[in-house]
Amino acid sequence: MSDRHLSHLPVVKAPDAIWDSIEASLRNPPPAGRPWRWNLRVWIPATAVLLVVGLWTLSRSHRTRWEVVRTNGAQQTHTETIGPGEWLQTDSHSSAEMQVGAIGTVEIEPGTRLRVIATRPNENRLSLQHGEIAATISAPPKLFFVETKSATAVDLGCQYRMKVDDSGNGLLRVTRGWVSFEWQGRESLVPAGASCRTRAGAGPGTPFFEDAPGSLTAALDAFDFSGGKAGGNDAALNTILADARPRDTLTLWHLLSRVDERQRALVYDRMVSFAPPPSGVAREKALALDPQTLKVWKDELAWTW
Amino acid sequence: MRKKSPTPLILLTLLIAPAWAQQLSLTIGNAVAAQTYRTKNMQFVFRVNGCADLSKAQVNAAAEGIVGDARRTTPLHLIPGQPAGVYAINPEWGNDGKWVVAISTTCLNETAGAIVPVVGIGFIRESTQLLPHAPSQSEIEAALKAFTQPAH
Repeated sequence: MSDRHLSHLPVVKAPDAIWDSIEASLRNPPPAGRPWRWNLRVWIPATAVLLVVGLWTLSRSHRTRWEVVRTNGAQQTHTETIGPGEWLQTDSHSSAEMQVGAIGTVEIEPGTRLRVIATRPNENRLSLQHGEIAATISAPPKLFFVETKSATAVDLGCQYRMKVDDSGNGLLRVTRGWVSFEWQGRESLVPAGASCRTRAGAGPGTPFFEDAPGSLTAALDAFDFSGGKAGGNDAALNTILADARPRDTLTLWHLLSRVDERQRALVYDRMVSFAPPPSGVAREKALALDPQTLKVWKDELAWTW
Repeated sequence: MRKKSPTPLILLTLLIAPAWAQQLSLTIGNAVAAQTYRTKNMQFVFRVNGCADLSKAQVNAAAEGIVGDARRTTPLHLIPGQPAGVYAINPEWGNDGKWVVAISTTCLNETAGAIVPVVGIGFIRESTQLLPHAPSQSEIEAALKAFTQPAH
C-alpha cells in the first residue's frame, strides 16, 4: 500500500481498554519462572514416557529368544525358542542347533547341558555346564561368550568346538579365526588350527597346534597342570623347548609370560633360534614382558602360525 | 638321478623372509595373521615387504589348477587388508582338483612373486615358493605337477 493511499485512511482513536491492559502489563510483568513451569509441565511427562519406553525396549532386548531346532539322529523333531535364564539339555541320542541372534549358530552335541545367560545385541552369553558345542560366529569380536567353570571362551571372530566335563575340565579347538580363552586375568589366544586345554582351579592352559609333536603336548599338559612342582616344571619345559618347531612359537610366546625369570631367557632364546625377532622387539623388553613388545612380536609370529 | 627334495631350502627361505626387509618380497600366512575377523574365511593372506611406496605397488594373483584332465586359470580378486600391503585371497576356484595361487608384485623397479599350493581352508607352507621374480609358466606347471596333499 502506497503513502498516497495511506493518507486517505481515517485516523481512529484506540479504545481506552487497550491502554489499560498495556499499562497493567507494564506494572506487573509476568514472573520469570512462568515459562520454566510450563516447560517442566511438558518435559517431565515426556521424559518419563521416554524412560518407560527405553526401559521397556531394553527389557525386551534382554528377553530376545533364540530359535532351537532339536534333532534325534538325522530326524528333526521340533523347533522351540530359548531365552535368558533357561536351560537346554540334550540326551545321549539327541542334538540341537541354536541360532545366536543374527550372528551365528551353535551346534549342541548329545549329552550336553547349557544355559542361556544373555541375548543382548552387544552380549550373547552361554554357560556350558557339560558336553560339547560347535560355534560358528560371524560378527565383530567380543559379542559372543561361552562360560565354563574354568574358563570363558571369548569370540574374536571364529569357528570352534569346545568340550567340558562337570568339573570344568575341557578342551577348546579353533577351526577358523581366533578365540580368547580367559579366566581370572589369565588369557590364552587360540588361532585356527590350535587347541587349548582348561582345568578346574587352574584355568586355560597354554595353546598348542594340533599337529604339534605328542611329546610337546604331553609336556605342556604337565607344565600347565602339574601343580607347580619346580623339578617337574623344569623337565617339562626342557622337553617343550627341545621339541618345538617354528610354528610352535605360538606355545612359546604364551610361555614367555608363564615361566619364571630364569626360564624366560631360555624360552626367548629358543624363539629367536627359529627366526630373529622383528624390529621393535628388544630382548630386555621382551624379558620384562613389555605388553607392546609382546604384541608386536605375536603379530609378526602369527605369519608363521 | 633322483632330485633332492627342496623342502628344507623352501623352509629356510620362509624363515628368513622378514630379514630381506629392504628387498621386495612376499610373506604368506594363514588367515589369522591378518588379525581381523573379516579375513577368517579367506584361504590365506599375504604381505608385500620392502616397497617404499605401497601406493605404487601392483599386485596380481591367479589360481592355477588342474581339474580332472583340464588345466584351469582363474584370475583372483584381492581383498586389501590393514595395514597397507596386506591382502587376502578369497577361494574362488571351487572344491575340485588341485590348485596353486600364483602371485606377482611390482614396486618401482623390483618384482617378486610366490607360488602357493592351497588345500582345504589353508595353504601348504612347506611347498610354498617365494620368488625374486614373477612366477613363470614353467614354474607354475612344475608346482602343479609336484603338488601333493599333505599327510594328516
